[in-house]
Amino acid sequence: MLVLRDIDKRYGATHAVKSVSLDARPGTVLGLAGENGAGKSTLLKMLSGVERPDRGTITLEGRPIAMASTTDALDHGIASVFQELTLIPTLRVDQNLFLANAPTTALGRIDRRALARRAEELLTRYGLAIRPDAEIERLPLGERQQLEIVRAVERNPRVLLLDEATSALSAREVAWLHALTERLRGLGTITLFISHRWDEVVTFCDRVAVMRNGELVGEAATADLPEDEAIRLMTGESFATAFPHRPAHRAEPALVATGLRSRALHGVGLTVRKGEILGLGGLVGQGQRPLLEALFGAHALEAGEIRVGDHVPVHRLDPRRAIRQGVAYVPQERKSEGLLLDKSIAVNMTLAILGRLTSLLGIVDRRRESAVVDPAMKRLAVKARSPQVKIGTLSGGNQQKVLLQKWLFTEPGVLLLNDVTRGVDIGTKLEIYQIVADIARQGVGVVWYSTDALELVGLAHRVLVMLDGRINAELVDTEITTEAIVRAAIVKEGADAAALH
Amino acid sequence: MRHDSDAATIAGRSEPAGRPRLGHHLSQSAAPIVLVGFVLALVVVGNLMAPGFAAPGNLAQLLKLAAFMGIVAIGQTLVMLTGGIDLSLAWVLTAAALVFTDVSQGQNAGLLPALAAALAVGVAVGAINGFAVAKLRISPIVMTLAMNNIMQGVALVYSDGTPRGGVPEAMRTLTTGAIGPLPTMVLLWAAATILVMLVLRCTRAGRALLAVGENPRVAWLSGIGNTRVIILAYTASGLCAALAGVLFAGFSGQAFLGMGDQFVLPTIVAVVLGGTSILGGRGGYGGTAIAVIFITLLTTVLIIENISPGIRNIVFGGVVIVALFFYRFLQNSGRSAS
Amino acid sequence: MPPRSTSARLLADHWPVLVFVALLALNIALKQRFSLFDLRTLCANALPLALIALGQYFVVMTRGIDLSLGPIASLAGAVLSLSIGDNLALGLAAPVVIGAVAGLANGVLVARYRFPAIIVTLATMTVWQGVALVVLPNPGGFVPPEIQRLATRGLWFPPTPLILLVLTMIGAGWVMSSRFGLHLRAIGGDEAAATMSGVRATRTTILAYTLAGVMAGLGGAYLALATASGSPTIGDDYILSSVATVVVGGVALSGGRGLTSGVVFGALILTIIGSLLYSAGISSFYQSMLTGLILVAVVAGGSAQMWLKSRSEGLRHAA
Repeated sequence: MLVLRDIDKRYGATHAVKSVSLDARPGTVLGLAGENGAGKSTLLKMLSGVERPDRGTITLEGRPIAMASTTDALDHGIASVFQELTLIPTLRVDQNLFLANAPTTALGRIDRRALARRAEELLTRYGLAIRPDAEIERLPLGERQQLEIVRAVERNPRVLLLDEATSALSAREVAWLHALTERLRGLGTITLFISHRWDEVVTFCDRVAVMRNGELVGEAATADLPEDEAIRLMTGESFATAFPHRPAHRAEPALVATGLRSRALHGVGLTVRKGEILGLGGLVGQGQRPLLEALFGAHALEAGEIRVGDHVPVHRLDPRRAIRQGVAYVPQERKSEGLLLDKSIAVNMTLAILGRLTSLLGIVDRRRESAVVDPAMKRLAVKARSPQVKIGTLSGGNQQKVLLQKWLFTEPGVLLLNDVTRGVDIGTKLEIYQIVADIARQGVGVVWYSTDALELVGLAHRVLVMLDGRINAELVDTEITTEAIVRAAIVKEGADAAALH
Repeated sequence: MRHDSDAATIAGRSEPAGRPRLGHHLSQSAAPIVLVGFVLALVVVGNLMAPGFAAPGNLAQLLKLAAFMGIVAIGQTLVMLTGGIDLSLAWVLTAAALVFTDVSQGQNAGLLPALAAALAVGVAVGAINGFAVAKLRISPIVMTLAMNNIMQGVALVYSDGTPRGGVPEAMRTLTTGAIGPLPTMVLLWAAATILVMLVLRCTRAGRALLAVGENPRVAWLSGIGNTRVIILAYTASGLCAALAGVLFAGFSGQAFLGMGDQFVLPTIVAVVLGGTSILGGRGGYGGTAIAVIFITLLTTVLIIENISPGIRNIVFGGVVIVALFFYRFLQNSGRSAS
Repeated sequence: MPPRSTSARLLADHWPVLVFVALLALNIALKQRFSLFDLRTLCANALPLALIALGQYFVVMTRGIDLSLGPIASLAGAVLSLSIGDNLALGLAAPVVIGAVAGLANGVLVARYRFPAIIVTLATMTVWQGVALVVLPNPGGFVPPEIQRLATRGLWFPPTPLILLVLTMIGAGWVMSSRFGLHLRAIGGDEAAATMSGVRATRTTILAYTLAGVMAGLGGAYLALATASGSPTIGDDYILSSVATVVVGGVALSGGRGLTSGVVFGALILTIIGSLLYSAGISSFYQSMLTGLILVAVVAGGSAQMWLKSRSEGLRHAA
């Protein structure tokens, strides 16, 4: 029996998990469901030893356990499978499966035949048709994920954590996993299961725990929890946020994309009009980031066309050209993709518009720089001693404001925002909403991917919800509700077409 | 990310590229100050061991010696700021010197064309290095190493084993002469130092270079042409090596095979001691210049004391290791303080 | 990416052998002979390079680099030449011990203290160069002529250099086929994943550097035996040629890939190029240039391969 009592975790200003208490009985599969930011992944990280709870206890089979690392978790019998793979790509399947204790001959060499045999035996036992001598980097993603799962299960864990373990699996492979979890149930293993696909949660799990905003808001047998009820639990009563008034937009398109195809995108097209705020929704990892990057020329496309404003449509964009055409992209990871932490606020803010600030010989005109940076800092209320301060010392919210301003300086016709309010305090969030509304009012087309459905409800004219690399649903005006967004995020269109319209 | 893995190779397994740590920066800006302290200490020690060491005339001579390495180190600094390394300096320098003496044939009239030819060698090699690293994604270690070998062959074939021609009088005067109390070479180096520091801190190119070195992805997403920046850095390095070759040949009165070998490794050490992160993106030339002076002083003091070449080497290597531990200590205390 | 056929895999892994055989054939055609003397000379010249390059290989597999292997070899050889005249056992054991100690120092600084490998080994390189100069300021020392004969010729056939080369290849192959070798590959492939799977990365890496030192020591020992003298600078050429050999042998500097047989044949390739140039009447001036060009060709080829691979997978790297 796995017992969690009052598990609590904060990340700076964010209260990720609020006093969650949960039980899981042996021989059951417990699903964890919820929106982005509900706290599911954080909870799982604490169970797998990646993170430690600030407060609360975890008890397994009557004994309280404390874990400082993933190795500790393994020692306690908790095995996890995450989306990030831990197989060594340069090695073979059998080498990976038995890395730490490969069988050796009397001479000390690795017994290749014994290794292959052991791997073969293991793979057969699990019903996998993968060759033991296959090189990992040449295997399709689904098979690699299957191997990850097999490795975890081979440890005979008391608790198995599956965090989006089905993301790369085909339908047949999902069925394979289901047979496996059924077998584990018979063995008395406790399985925790997270998936963005609701139908999978229903198939795999006996019980489902629904989280919202870090809290556990409901827990029931899946048989007793209809889809609508689950969605209602996930979205809940929302607090009223002071969203700025949505400005009217024009009809002319600012950007038109058609037929975008790549490994992550399976035929995506969209139009964003001047002054329109187009929201992108859906659970994390469904193709939103590749889509935004593709619109900026930072994601390689196999096919597709992007037309920005009046420019000639292009197949191959790159960030330089995109910026020249008036597209700006505010990336997701401000620390590793957006800002140069070691450089000053001024340097970061002007990084994309250096051309405008240089006089002869390429010297940056400090006066012109100040003339541009100082008012911006004041306007945005960036709290720092001076523009020369290193940006790494600023708070997340202030960093985000600087990052945003960097792109506003380029005077774009299209602004792509990748989850710009993530990890930002509520005060700064409101400021950012205002900035975006203002910029839309000036006629800029905004594409805003947000993991917070409320923001999309509050600000967007239209919302495209993505699922599995496609646009699953398009919601317009009054259709935009958190329920609709969450439903479209987990239920494939087509199966439920009637219910949606 | 090929470039990242090269940085990782060069840097060992200390930090993943693209995730800079704040404490690291403190040790970087402290480095030049610490070095100045050591330089002064060396001057004092040197004077104790050999009175007259600290005399302005002697110090000026020492600075003149350091100037050649200093100029080569400009290029190495720029390249290492992008997270790369240039191991081809030795034979680029030598080849340029050989070309210089051959084309000028020792005549003042031939000086300008010879200079142009020599610098062209440096520029061409640097551009090829840069292209290979930036576009073909070849590891800087391998590419510049291979280029060193290639240039060695080129130099040997070109000169047929014996340097030809001579050094124009004007060049000799330039490199051995002085204006007032200051040797011309020192003035030249000082001017170059100011120029480089200006470029790095105040120009668009400098900012682009530091951006690419610190986080290539951020630079790319900001519209900076990473390829262009990298090619320019290696081209500048080749140019500096060629220029140093010409000047050094002027100073020595001739070009000789292998004259460049003594510069490669000390310049790498100088860049690192001077506070430039081996991962790139942080640091500058000021620290390198001071480190060059430090290295030259240290070597000279050891020579004065008749320390055998063997012990000199041991001291030199030991100093680097001590410096590594010392900078790590600064970094850690800086981090715990912040 | 579809799995490769066995023949495709064999070709990809063992092309240095093919290249060497081709070059050898070319050499024989040019010289119109291949005598025992030629075989002995080839093996004797390739052996030290193979040994030192194998040391470099172990380090490169962990994504590191070791610039101090050349001077370690010089020092080992110098000590051997000073002691073997008096005490055979000491003379042969000293290079191994010296190599191990030097390698251990490198390993600790890189793996435990996490200093950049290039700077650490640059510093230790200078130190060992210095120690070698202190121990033996000028080339000298003494190796009993019988031992030199044994090392360079041995019994009529097979000649000792060939035997040693084969033993080296077998030995290195054995090391890489052990659990240690597998762990080395794992660390080079993905250190974080390897650690999570129970590989002790720090310990394994330190061992890799120590082993590299031992290999360099052995290389230096053979050089001393073959030249019947010690030289404090004889290893300097091998500093960078060991890296070149590794690359030519098909090993990626990014770690985790490559075979010891490739390295050995890489050493043979680089050695035979010198012989080829001589036979073809091309001045030795071209030798280093050719080495450089080959290096670039090999790496550019590898790069092109990766680029084609990534294009077909629809990936793009940020510049």
